[in-house]
Amino acid sequence: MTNIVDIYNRYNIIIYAVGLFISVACDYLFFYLITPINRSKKQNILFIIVTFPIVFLYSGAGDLGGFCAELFEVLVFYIVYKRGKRDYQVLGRILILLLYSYLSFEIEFLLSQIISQYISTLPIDTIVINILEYYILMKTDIIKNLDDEDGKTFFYLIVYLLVSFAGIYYLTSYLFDVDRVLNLILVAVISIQLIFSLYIYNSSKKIRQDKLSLQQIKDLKTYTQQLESSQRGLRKFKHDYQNMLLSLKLSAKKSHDKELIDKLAEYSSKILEDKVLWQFNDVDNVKDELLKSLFISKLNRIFQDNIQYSFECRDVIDSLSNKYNAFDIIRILGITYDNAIEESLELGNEARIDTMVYRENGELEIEIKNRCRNTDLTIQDMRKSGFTTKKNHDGLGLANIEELSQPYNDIFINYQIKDGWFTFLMVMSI
Amino acid sequence: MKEYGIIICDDEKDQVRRIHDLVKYAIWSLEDSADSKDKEFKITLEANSYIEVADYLEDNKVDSGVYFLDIELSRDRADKDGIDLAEFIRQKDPNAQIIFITAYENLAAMTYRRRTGALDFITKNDSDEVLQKRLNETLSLAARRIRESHAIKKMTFSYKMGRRIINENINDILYIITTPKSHRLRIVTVSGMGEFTGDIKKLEAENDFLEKISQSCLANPSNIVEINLSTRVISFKDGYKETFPRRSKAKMKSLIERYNLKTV
Repeated sequence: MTNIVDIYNRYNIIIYAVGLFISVACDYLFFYLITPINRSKKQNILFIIVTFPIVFLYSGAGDLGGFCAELFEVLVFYIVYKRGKRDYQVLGRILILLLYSYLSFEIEFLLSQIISQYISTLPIDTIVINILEYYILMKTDIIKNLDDEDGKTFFYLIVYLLVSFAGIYYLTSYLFDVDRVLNLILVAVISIQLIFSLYIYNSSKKIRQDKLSLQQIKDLKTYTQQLESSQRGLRKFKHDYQNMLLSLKLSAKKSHDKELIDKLAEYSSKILEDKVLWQFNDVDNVKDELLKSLFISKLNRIFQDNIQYSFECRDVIDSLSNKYNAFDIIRILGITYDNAIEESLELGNEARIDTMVYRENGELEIEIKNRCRNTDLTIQDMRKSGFTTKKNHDGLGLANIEELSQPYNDIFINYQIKDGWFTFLMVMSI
Repeated sequence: MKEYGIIICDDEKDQVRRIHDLVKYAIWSLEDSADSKDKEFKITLEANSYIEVADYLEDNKVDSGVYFLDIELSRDRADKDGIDLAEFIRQKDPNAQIIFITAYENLAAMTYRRRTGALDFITKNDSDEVLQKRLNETLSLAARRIRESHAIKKMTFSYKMGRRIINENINDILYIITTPKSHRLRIVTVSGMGEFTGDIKKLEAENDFLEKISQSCLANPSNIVEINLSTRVISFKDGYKETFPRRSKAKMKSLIERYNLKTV
């Protein structure tokens, strides 16, 4: 009998060690998978060799050891891998990993309370928990939340959840002697709180974003209408003015004022033919509201920045095909224009941006080209995610365009840098 | 050297004469600057209407002609204009170099160029000096285009983006790879990239200059920077790296020998 218990105990220790090893190794693995690493391969290996044994040994040394191991892990990972002075994105990732380990602690505890005391004698639960963790980290938006504009709020949410989990865990284990039922209730309450707060966070974020884009559409629509009406007014003025001038010219034909009138005519024809006044004409042919708004807002910015430009759209473009999410198309064009404008501002007087919207046999071609500086930069450099020539820039580049066009099988995109021009061409069906 | 015909068409006789003179100077200035002493261009027809040019092309076989066309060939809008004439010329002389001459400055040049494949748009309102300069430039561009289209026909790789045909010099092509979309390939060149619908196997069979280095990648070996035989990685000029399968090692070795490539 003693023999069997002996074997069982020895077996148990090995199982425990294996389980612990797997979970610590997974912690490391997941961290490297989800974090942008700014260290070299050699440094990473050195880091693992030095820290892994410490974390592993302390984790196995009871609750106090486990606590120390966690504290050590968080600190070392953060200090080594933070990218700036304060990097909540990296810290947030570490804390999410920690939060998950507390969560799995509790789940294991619950299972052992409900089903059997010996459930943890098999390392299966460790494996299942880690596979589940892999799935949550890699396939859901949990990590992505840290990187968007609301990342900081999400970070504080994680800190809050972590503190409450750890608090409950240590309070119930050491300070208060609570019975099983109460413990279960506490764990259940805090788990529900976790799910609920994540849900609230996500839905409030979505509401805010929807509101923002709705407001933008509204702004653009108003703006479009205003521009169109002022454009119509201008055209009418041009027409009337030219007629008046013509009749004035006829009546003054034989008088001495002829020379003066001629000068006036020359002057006004120069002003009225001035391209900037009439360049919006072709935009009228774009009937799709969103597309038109985009063109108007971008052309207006180009005009405000004193960049030479032209816009051609000879065919009527009714509306974009339902196959596409209009916002994706708009964003692709928006990024292209922003890049063109950015480059034009660097270029100065030489700058020019030409646009052609062309329709033929159910196909829509949009070509946007801008003069660019002679650089050694290749398209490949620009395609790299986050490429930009400017510091402190959002870093939206060609990579984003490719990402946006990815879901559509009939959008073709082409870029060329040739003879001092950058040309963007997009072909899609209409 | 072969001589290429120049055809001028404008409904105003004065303008035809003016352009004739300016083009003649442009030919001289081109001959002065060119290395070859041979004559390249000759003005073969001065016309005032659509029908004159059309008749001439019906009777004479013209190859790689240079055409200076007025867009507004008639006061009557219902009549055929220079754009229609350009379309007719394209059918008769596919390698035609068409240059439009117009009085309108506010013309949608990019659109017309796209529609007709025209080489250039020139406004005739400019002074003679300005116009002369533009004509010199555009004629020398036309000469280059004709020369290229004859000598380098075999050196061009063409692909279709919808209805638009894009031509690339094969020396500029780095590689063609598959994308996550089905039947969609990406071509990367020295100066840009594009997408088209196609099939790797078929492309490999049709183009001798492309070598298949993996299931998903065709390479132009002359633009490979280095082949690493131990890690089985090929690096291209733009920094792109592609891994080749173990069984292709022998093929890579032969490529290295044939193209004198760098190895590690």
